[in-house]
Amino acid sequence: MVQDGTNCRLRAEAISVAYPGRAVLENLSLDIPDSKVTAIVGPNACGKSTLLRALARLTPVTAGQVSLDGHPIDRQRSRVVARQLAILPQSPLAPEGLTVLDLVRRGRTPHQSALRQWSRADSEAVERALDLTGLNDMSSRMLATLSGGQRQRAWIAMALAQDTDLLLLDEPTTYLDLPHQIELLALVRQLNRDTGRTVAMVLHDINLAARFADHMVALKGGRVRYQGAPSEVVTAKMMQDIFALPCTVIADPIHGHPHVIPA
Amino acid sequence: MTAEVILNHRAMDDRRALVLLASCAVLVLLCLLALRLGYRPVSWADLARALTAYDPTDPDQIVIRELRLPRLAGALLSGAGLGIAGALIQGMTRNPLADPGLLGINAGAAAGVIGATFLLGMGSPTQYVWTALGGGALGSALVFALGGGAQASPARLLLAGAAISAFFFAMIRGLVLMSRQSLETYRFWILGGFENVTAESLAALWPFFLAGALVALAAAALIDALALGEDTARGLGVNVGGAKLLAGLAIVLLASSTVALAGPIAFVGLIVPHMARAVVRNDMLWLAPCAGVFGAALMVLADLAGRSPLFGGTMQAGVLSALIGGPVLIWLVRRTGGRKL
Repeated sequence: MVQDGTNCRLRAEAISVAYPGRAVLENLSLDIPDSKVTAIVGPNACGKSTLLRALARLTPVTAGQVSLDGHPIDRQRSRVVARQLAILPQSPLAPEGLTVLDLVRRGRTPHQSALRQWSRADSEAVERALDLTGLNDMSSRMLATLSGGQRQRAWIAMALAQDTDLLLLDEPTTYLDLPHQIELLALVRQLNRDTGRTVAMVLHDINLAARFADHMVALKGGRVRYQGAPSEVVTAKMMQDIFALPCTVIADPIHGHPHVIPA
Repeated sequence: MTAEVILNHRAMDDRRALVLLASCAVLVLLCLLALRLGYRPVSWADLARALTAYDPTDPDQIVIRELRLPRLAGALLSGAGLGIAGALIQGMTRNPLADPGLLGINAGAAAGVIGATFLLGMGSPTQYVWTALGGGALGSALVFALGGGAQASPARLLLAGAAISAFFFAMIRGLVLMSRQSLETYRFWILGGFENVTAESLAALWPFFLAGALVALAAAALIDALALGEDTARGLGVNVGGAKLLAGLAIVLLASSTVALAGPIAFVGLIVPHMARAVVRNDMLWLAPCAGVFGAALMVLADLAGRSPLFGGTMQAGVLSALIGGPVLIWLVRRTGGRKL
C-alpha cells in the first residue's frame, strides 16, 4: 500500500469496469499518491489503460467509484474536474492545419465559457506550458511538420496548459524511438519535480518505468497484483507472476534502479 | 520569449481580423454590383434613391426593391448559412469532405417540397417554404437518431445520412414520375437559386438563420475541442453529447433554412470552409464568421454571374457556385498537396 502520510486526491474505490461480455477491472482499489510519478504496468489487455481512463472519468465504472478529493468524480461537473485533472489519451489525433500554439491554447477550454473569453491568466498558462516543454521556438509551426517526439511534447503542453495538479498519460511513449522515449519521460520527471504535479501514466517498458517513476503499480487480469517503490515491485518473482517472463533483475549500475534482463 | 509568443498570437488575430474586414468590404462591393447590374442596369443615383428615398412609381427603383433586393438577401443568407454550417459539420465530424447536405437535410427538404406539391397541390414557393423547412429538420432528426443520438460517431452519422438521403430521393423519384406538376416544380427547385425568394419567405426564415448563427458561435469552442477527438474533449471537461447536439442544432437551423429559401445548393458548404481555413486556420470562433462572409460573397458572385449575358441571363446560382468553387477547391488541393484536406 501507499506509505503512510502521503495524501491521495485521486482514488479508485473497489471499481469494476465491464465492456459488453467482458469484465475488464474487478473490484479494484488504488490510490494515486500526490506529487509523485506513478507508473502503471502490466501485460497487454490487463486493463491498465481502462484503469487510467476510469480514473479520468472517460470510461464509466459499473461498480464502486472513483473519487477526487473525496467526492465521486462522475458526480462533479466535468468542467470543474478538468481544472484539477488533465488526461492525455492514447495516440490522440489532431485535425490538420493546427499550429503548436493553436493546440496548446485548447488546453484552456475548461477555464473558459461563453461569458469568460480569453484572459491574461490563459495566456500565462499557455506560455508556461510552452516554456516547460521547450516548445517556445516552435509555437507557430504546424503540428503536421513536427517529429513524433515534438508532437507528443505539444500534446503534453496542451495538457499542462490545462493547469491541473493531476496529470494522467496513457502510454505517452507509444511510437517514439528510444531517445525520444527517454526525453519525454525525463520531461515528465522534471515537471513533477519542478511543479509538484501528480503524474500517473501507463507504460509498457518496465525498465523505463522503474527508472522514471516513484511508485509502480503492476496489474494482471484486471487486479492490482503489486504496488510500491520500483525497487520493491520490480523483482524476478513479479516478472514471472505478471508477465510469465523468466528473468534476472539487477541494479542498474549507473542509477541503481532495478533493471530487468530477460533470461 | 514569452512576450514573443503573445505577439505571434496577437499578430495572427490581427491578420484574421484584417481578412474578415477585407472580405466584408469585398462583399459590400459585390452587393452594390448585384443591385445595379442585370437585364435592366440601374444608375448609381437611382440605386441610392431606391435605398434611401424609395419612389414606388419609378420602374428602375421597383426593379431594385421588388426583384433584386430580395434576391440579394436570399443569396447573402444562403451563402452565409451554408458556409457556417459547412465549417461546423467538418469540424464536428473531423471529416474535411463533410457537407451539410450529408446529414439528410437536403433530401428531407426535397421530400417536403415534393410532398407539398404532390399531396397538397401547393405550387408557390411561399407555400412550400414551411414543408421544406420541416422536411429538412425531419431528415436530419432521423439521421441523428439512426446515427446514435448523442453517442453518434462521425462515421455512423455520415452513413445514416447516406441511407436516409437515398431513401428520400428514391421516394421523390417515384412521386416525380407519377406527377407532371411535381416534376416541373422539382426540376427548378433541385438546382437551387434565388428567383423564387420573396419578401415573405425572407421574413419567415431570417429568425432561423439568426438563431443558427448564434448557436454556432456558442458551440464554437466546444467544436474545437471535439475536433481533437472525443476522449480529449471529455478530458477537457466538454459534455461531448451536449456539444454534438448543440452543433447539430446550429447546422440543422442554418442548412434547413437555406434549403427552404433557395433549394439545395451543392458544393458551397463543402468548399467555403476550406477557403476560410486557408486564411484563418482552424479556430472555429474565427472560421465560422469567415466562412459565413466567404459563402455569402461566393453566392452573390455566382448569382451575379448567372444573371450576366454570358450565361444567357438565367443560369441558376446553384450551378454557378459549383462552377466557380470547383477550380478554387482544386487549386487549394494542389497548393497544399492535399495535406489540409
